[in-house]
Order: sequence, then structure tokens, then C-alpha cells
Amino acid sequence: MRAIQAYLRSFRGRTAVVAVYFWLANLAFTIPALLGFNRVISGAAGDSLLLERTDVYGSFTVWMELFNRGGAGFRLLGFQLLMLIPLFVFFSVFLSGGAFHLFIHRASPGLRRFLRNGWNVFPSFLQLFVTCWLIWIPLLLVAITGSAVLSGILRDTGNEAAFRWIAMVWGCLVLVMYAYGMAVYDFSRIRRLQGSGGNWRAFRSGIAFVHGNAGSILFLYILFLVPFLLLFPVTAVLRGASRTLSPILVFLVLQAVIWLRVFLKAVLMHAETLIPRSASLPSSDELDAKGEPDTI
Amino acid sequence: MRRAGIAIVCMAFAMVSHLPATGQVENPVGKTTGPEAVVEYSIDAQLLPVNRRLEGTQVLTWRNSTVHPARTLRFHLYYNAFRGPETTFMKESALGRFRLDDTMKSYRYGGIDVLEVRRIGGPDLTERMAFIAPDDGNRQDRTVMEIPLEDPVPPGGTVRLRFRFRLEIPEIFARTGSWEDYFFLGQWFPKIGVFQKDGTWHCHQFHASAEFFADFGKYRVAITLPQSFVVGATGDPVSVTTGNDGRKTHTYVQDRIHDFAWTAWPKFLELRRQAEVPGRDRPVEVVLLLDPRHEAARDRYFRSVIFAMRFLSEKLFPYPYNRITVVDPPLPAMKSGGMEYPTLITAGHCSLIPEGARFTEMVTIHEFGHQYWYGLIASDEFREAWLDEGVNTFFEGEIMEAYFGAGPSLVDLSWLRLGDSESRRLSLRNLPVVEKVNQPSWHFLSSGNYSSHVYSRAAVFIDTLKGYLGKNKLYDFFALYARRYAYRHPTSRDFIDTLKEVTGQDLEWAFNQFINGTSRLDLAVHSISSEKLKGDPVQYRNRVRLVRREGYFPAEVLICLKNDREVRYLWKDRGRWKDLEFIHESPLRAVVIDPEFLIPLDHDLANNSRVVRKSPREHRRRAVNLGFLFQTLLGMLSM
Repeated sequence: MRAIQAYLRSFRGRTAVVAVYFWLANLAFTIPALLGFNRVISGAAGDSLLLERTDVYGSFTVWMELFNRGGAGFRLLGFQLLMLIPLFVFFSVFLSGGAFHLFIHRASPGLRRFLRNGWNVFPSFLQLFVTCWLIWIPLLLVAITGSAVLSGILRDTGNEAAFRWIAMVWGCLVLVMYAYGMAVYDFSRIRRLQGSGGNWRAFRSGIAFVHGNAGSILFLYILFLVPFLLLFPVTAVLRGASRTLSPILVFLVLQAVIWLRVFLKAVLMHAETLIPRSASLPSSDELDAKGEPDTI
Repeated sequence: MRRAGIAIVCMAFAMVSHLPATGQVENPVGKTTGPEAVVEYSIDAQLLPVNRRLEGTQVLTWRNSTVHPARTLRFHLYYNAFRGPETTFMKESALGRFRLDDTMKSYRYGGIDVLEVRRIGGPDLTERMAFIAPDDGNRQDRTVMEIPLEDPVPPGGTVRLRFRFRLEIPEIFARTGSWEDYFFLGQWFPKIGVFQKDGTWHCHQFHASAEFFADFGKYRVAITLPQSFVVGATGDPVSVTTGNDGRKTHTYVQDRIHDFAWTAWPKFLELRRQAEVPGRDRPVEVVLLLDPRHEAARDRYFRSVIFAMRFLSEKLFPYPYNRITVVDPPLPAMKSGGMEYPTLITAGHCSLIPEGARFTEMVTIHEFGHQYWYGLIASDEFREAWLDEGVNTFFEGEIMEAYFGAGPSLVDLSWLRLGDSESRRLSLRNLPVVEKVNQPSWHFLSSGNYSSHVYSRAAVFIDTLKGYLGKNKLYDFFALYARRYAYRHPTSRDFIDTLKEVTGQDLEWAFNQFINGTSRLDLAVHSISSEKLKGDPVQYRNRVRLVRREGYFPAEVLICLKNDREVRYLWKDRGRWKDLEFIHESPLRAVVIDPEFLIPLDHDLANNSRVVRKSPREHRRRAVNLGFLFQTLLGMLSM
């Protein structure tokens, strides 16, 4: 119930505004990709009718022709985009600081305040991001090792039906592990903003909170995932219809889809900040009693 | 069929009883054609599954069909390819096709030992056996055995030899071997080479990229093994008997074939269907030996193999044998999948692959097609492999497209759509070097280059001929070629001559470039322009420059004018470039070479068309789609 209440209470104007900020950031990092793709595709296709002849040649063939002619351009663009990804990841850490601050302190969602708060908490959020690798690395190792063992089972036994079931179960476990890792990260940050001690303590507090409220958190994630996943078939239909529409219109529609996605993400973040308010968090005194260091 | 003290168990080969003449073939080509059998094998094999061993005896009757005396006999001992890492096959495999990865470090090798060979009514020849390596001189290679004869086999004469041999069955690799209690035995018995008209032996070593070539003949093979095994084999089953040790003996016979393979696995699900085939009096029995875990795929196998059989029976000549056995290997034994033997093929299925990826059908159709090109027409796969693999790959595309109708025939998923013919053209991308398609298989740069040329380039070439000659004319040619050369091992020369006979066109120029030569084909629109002329009414001087960057092939050129009118021009002169110029009321909009895409051999399609003014709409649409994918990725990585 706590999860549902928190989720429903998160559909607020300020959540939508935060989603706009998220979307703008996402778009800003996408523009180089859009321009880059347009440049390399135009360069590769030249003044030919290659792209217009997809029905004759087959779409796979057309892409292969493009990659073949514009190989260097595609490779350079790929490298540039790969470089953009870590930058975006860091920038998103910054954005999440502004968003969590806004949700926790119920501040007005003005852009300047959002950016200022994001900037203020960025150092500690970045430290928490690094700290969380203490959890993510073991989880990643478990996920990779398990997948390797699974493929070994398939290779040695050939039992595809059993493999399918085990793989599904394993996939669910990996998802739960992923959710656990992200929950620890989120609630560490929330705990940090709620002002009880330093990063290490916030991290420990986040773990303790996730362990104590696993059911609510899992339910909240499912509430987030259902509409989020529903957007994918909608997007597929939109992209399918895009051949008949103007590229600008398609672009605008797809941006609306992106905004919807980040809105759902913002709703989730907002809801996460609401759960601890009705749950017991380990206090600073309790953590001090355990002799936890305040910083890392 | 009784032995003293042995209870005979009549087994469930119910269909055998009503077949007219077991092991014989229906007249395939409207006449009793084909040379007299050159070989006759009678093999008794005992499988010892626990020891992964096979002990066999073989009586071979060989007829010298040439005008030269045979002073030696040469035999393929293909199984010795798996004897160790230094065999020619294994060394070549390490370079490519059947890559020797880390798992092969603990590989269980195998091999064949000929324990005794004796001329029936003549001397013991065991001591005379010697291993030779005519292709590469590799002393570690024991895949060719030579026996000098004191008394040569005269022209038209026959020799009968009795062999005793033993196989150590390797871990499954390169279409033969065992995995747990699954056995697949291909290329497993001492097999005589082909004594050619010039009095020399055609008996090459087993190469990683080469397949097989042998004379037609009669085979009788009796396989004894524990009764729990379900057996599938080349030919028609004639009896199953049980010995007093509880082991069963399955006997198969078949006339007019040139190889024999079999498989055994206790877990096989054995399914049968009768297939009515155009031009045949009686149905063909289709036997499916299925991994029971693949039961959901049974219809995919049956439908595709029956469709292919009907297609080729209609287009070439009726499938002549009484049955076809399709083997679905278990996943860990997939290295025995995707191979053809007379009246038996191995395919492959994995239920984890979505149904829209039609590899099960593709492999089944491809391997069945080999029943004609490898099995019945039986070209030399060592030296002219394209006549089998290339032609068969072309027909695989034709059958896949006929089977699945419009749309992509190979992969039809929401995110990936790929036609069968399209896929093989793609494999010609980025070849390290263009080689002759028509050359001995082991002469290719690598196994990858072998398959790109012999399968794909040859098939794309035939696809191009289809566009040039028309489908009907090409099919007329294949019908005549197949009927004329069934059981006769035609060569590339026979292929080209028959094509000329049917079409009335000399196509040497095409074969010389793309099959016997190393040319690529690249036709391009170099430039287009429209110049407005002075005067009234308004007119334009339209100029088009076409260039042949590589190779020659006649092509149609579509000239599109801005007023939506079109002009078609057949560009067939052999110059490296061609200028077209005409005055018209409308300026040019675009020029397209080969607008119907009848020349898939053209390796660069982007230069086949040119527009006067670029329309960025399509470019933007693709960029938006790719940008959206990147945006989605960023969204997922948002922390």
C-alpha cells in the first residue's frame, strides 16, 4: 500500500517539470548523434537513390551498402557517441541530485534552483555512485558467471526446454539483483539528502533501508515497469508508421515518447523519496553506536 | 531372415513391405539412363558404443570402366582425418571452417585402421597398403591409401576385395563422431577412389573445405548394435534381426548412390510421412529422426523437406529414391548437422531461436537440394564444388522464396528482415581477395573464402543469369542439364555447353569473368546533368555518363525525367564508359542502373543511381530513427 500511495502521490506538476529537465538533458546529448547520423548517412548515400530503393534491395542490404561506403564515418561517429555516454552518465548523476533535492524538500521546480541544488550535491552523489560499485561489481560477476554456467549447461546437455526455464528464472534473478543495486543507490542518495551523516553512513543506511523495505520497493519498481514497458510496443507502432510521415513530425512524436519515459522515471524517483517518510530509517545515533565511520 | 538359434524380430519397417523394389530407384528421367554401376559395397558393421568403436568387414566389387589397366588401387580413408592434429584436414580446420577452439584441446580423436585387405580369389594385400598424400605430401595424413596390384585390373575387368577394418569413433566434429550415446557415421568405410578415363586416380586427401566425389554403385550395409538404438541410414531398410546376444542388425540396401551414412541414438523419435511427388507413381517415404525435445519442430521439418522435394521434382525430374531420412541432431551434437548423404540429410534445430528466423527450414531445404546436385548429378566436389554448392545454394533461395512467399524468406522478425538470396550477396562483402570460383577446394585462401565463392558468389552469379535470361529459360536449362547428366558427373564445361544449347547464347564471357575468372562487377552512374536550352518551347539537353568500374554485364538503365516520364535504355556495349545525351522538354530527375535489381552480382549498389537534387527526407528519417535508439540507450544509462 505504501508503494501505491507513494506512486500515486508522485504524479505532480513538479515531477512533470523535472521530467522536462531530464528530457532536455537527454535531447542535448542526442543532438550530436542526430546530426552525426544524418551526416554519415547523407555522406554514404551521396546523391544516390539507395535509401529510396529499400523495397527493391532489402533493408539489410541497404544498411550494409551504407556501412560499406561510410565505414570510416560510422566508426568515427560510433567512437564519438561512446565518448558521450560516460559524460551523460556523470551529467545524469548531477541531474538526479537536483531532482532528489527537489522531491525531498518539496521545493519549487525552478530551473536555477534545480541546477544549483544539483551542483551542491554533485560531489557527494558522485562519491555515492562510486561507492555503489562495491555492490554492483559482485552483482555483475554473479550475473556473468551464472550466464556462462547456463550456456555451458545448454552446450553440454542440449536440453533447450530446461535451459529456457532456468534462463527465465535466472533472468528474473538478474533483474532482482539489478533492482537491488539501483535501490541501494537511490536510497543511499535519498538518505544522504535527508541529512544524516556522510556518504558512507548514507550508503549503509540505504542498504539497511532496502533490506527492511524490500517488498514495498519491489512493488514500486513493478509499478514503474508496467507502463514503461507498455511504451515499447507503442513506440514500435509509431516507428513503423514513420515511413509515411515527415521526419520532423516523427522526431516530435518520438520526443514525446522519450518525455513520457523520463516522466515515469521521475515519478519513480519521487515515489522513492516518499517511501522513507512512512518507514523507519536507522538513525544517526544508531549508526554511530555501531561505530560506522562518517566518511569514506 | 533367420540365423541358427536366433530369434527373428520383425521390426516396424511397415512401409518396406509395400515398396515395389527395395533399394531400387524409380526411373528419374524418362529413360533407363546412367552408366552401369562401377562399385558394389557389402558392409557388415558392429557398433560397440561403450568403447566408441566400430568393427567392420567389407566386400568391394570394383569394375574398371576405363580403357586403361588399373595397376594400383586407391582408397579414401576419410576417417583418418580425425586421427590427430597433424592431419591435413585438422591443420586446415584450424585455419578456418571447423575452427579448432579451446574446447578441441581435449578433443577425443579417432580414425580408421584397415586390419586386413585381401583380393577375393587372390593374394593378401595387407602388407602392400601404403598411405600417400597426393595433394600436399603431408606424411601425417592417412586419408588416402594405395595398394599396388601384381595383376592389374584390365579394362572392363572387375576386382573383388575383402576388407576388415576398425574405427575409433571421435568426438563429434565435422559431421561425424559421437556425443554421449548419439552416433553419426559419415565417411566411415574404406572407399575406393575414381579411376578416370585417362587412367589416373581421382583420390584426393580429405580437406577441410572439400567434400566428396565417387562412382555410383550398389550398397548393402548391415549395422549391428544394441537394440535400444533407433537407426537411420542411407537407402531402404530390408530387415531387422535380433541376435542371441540381444543386439539387432539393421540391413539397408540402395542402388545408384555413391556414399552411405548412418546414425544411431536411443532417444530418437522416429516419425514418418508419405509424400506424393509429381511424376512418381508411388509416394516417397519421409522419415524424420527427431531429438524428442524438438517435437514442436516436426511439421517445420516435414513441410519444408516435402516442399523442396516437390519443387525439384517438378522443375528438374522426379525424386527417384523410395525414401528420404531427415536427421535432427541433438544440440550438443550439432556439428553433425547440416550435411547431405544419399537419401539421408542432417539438418538442425534450436527451439530457443524464434520461428521467424527460418534456419531450420533453410538448412533442411538446402540439404535436400543436395540430393540432386551432390547425390544424383554428382559433380566433382573436390575440384568443381560450385556445381554442387553454388547451384544448390541458388535453388535454396528459389525454394525458400517459393515456400515463404513474398517478403523476407530467411529472417522475418520485427527488428530484422532478411531474404535468403539477400543473405548470400552480403557474404560477398569484404572478401580478402576475389578468387576463381571454379578451382580445387583446397586452393582457396581460406575456408571462409571458399564458402563465400563456392556457395555465395556462384549462387549470386546464377541469380544474375536468371535476371539476364529470364526465370523460365534458366529453369528450362536446369531441367535439361539435370536430366541429361543425372548419374553422369558433369563438369563446368557440360554446364556451360548445355546452357548455350538451351538459350542459344554464348555466355562464355560471363563464366570467364565470374566463375573461371576473378572479376568483380561494378556498374555506376558517373554523372547526370540537364542544361536548359535557349528558345521556345523550353527544352533541356540531358546528359548521362555511365561507367563500368569493374567487369562487364549488360544492364538496363532507367532514366527518370522531372515530368514523371521514364526512358529505358539497354546498356550492352562493352566500352568502359557510355555517354547518353538527348534533348527533351523535361530535365532529368534521376538515373538508375538495373532498376529491377536483376544483377545482384553488382557489388556496389550505391553508385547504381544518381539524382539531380538530393532529397534529404530519407536520410533524415533514418537519422531520426537511429538517434531515437541512442536516446533510448541514454535513458537506460541515466543514473
